[in-house]
Amino acid sequence: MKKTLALVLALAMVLSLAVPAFAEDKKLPDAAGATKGTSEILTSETKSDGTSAASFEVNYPAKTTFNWGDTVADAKITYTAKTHLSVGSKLTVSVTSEKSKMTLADNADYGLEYTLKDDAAGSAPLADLTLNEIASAEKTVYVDIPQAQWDAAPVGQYSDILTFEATVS
Amino acid sequence: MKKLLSIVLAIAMVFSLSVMAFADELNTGKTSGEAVVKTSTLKEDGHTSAENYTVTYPAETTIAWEKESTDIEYTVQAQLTWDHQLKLDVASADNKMSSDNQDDYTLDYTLTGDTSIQDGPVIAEGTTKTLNIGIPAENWAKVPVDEYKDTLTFTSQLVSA
Repeated sequence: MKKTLALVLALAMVLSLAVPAFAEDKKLPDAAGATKGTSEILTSETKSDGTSAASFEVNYPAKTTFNWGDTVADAKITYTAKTHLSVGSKLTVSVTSEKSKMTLADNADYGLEYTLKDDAAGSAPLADLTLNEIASAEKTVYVDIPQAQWDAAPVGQYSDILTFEATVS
Repeated sequence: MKKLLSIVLAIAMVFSLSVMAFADELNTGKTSGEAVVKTSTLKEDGHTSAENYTVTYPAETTIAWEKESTDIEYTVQAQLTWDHQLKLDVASADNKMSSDNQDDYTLDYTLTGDTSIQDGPVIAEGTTKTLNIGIPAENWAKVPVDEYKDTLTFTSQLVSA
């Protein structure tokens, strides 16, 4: 019994000695008498308000109006993107259309088919915009409505919806 | 043998008389006297110097992202001999925080405030000093989001007052 009690007390004493090692503060001179010590400073990946430090921004027009008969060089939409992401991350912005066809609100018989292009000449299909961790860019989306489409369609207010999607990977 | 013994006894008697010189007494012939009290500079164990100081500082400080000014407090206490002062210096090797994940970016900062103090011989317990870590917004904007770290070295020494 006495030996058991002595062992328990010894363990309690050892554990109490260990407590200071978990404390947040350090001291000089330290337990070994050293007069020099180090303190680490480090950044958090969250802001003071608790929100994530990683951010991006894509600004695009809510509505764009083309003139009747605009060629691909003139039927364009410009958007901007800016990133401040974690190391190794990138932002991809894609612009797509579900139907690739502008239609009249009150008549489904007519439409203006189009494709999205990456250049004013209309030679390349629209590519996604990709940005690295810290970057900013401006990109133009060209809406290519062939002349034959314009010629075949009654004059009217045709419209469609483009979807902008931003993905961080 | 007798002569030797008499010499020893004489020496013993002389030593016993000298003991009386370290004590004093009052009697009918001497009704007042002075006794000196003084402190030692050693502790009760007889060999540990009573001179002491403590600097208490944080092991680690986390800075929220985009925070431009962060204070770091530390405390000092000292009880030294009259001719000593405590000198404490706090410094970084290059005032740059770096990441373990990549080498391309570092976060520059300034270290100001109580980076170098000299005081004493007595500094009251709980005396607080403040360091400041300054990271301007433009420095935050230049680096990708990551955990950046640096080490501050606290160096203490006793110097002549």
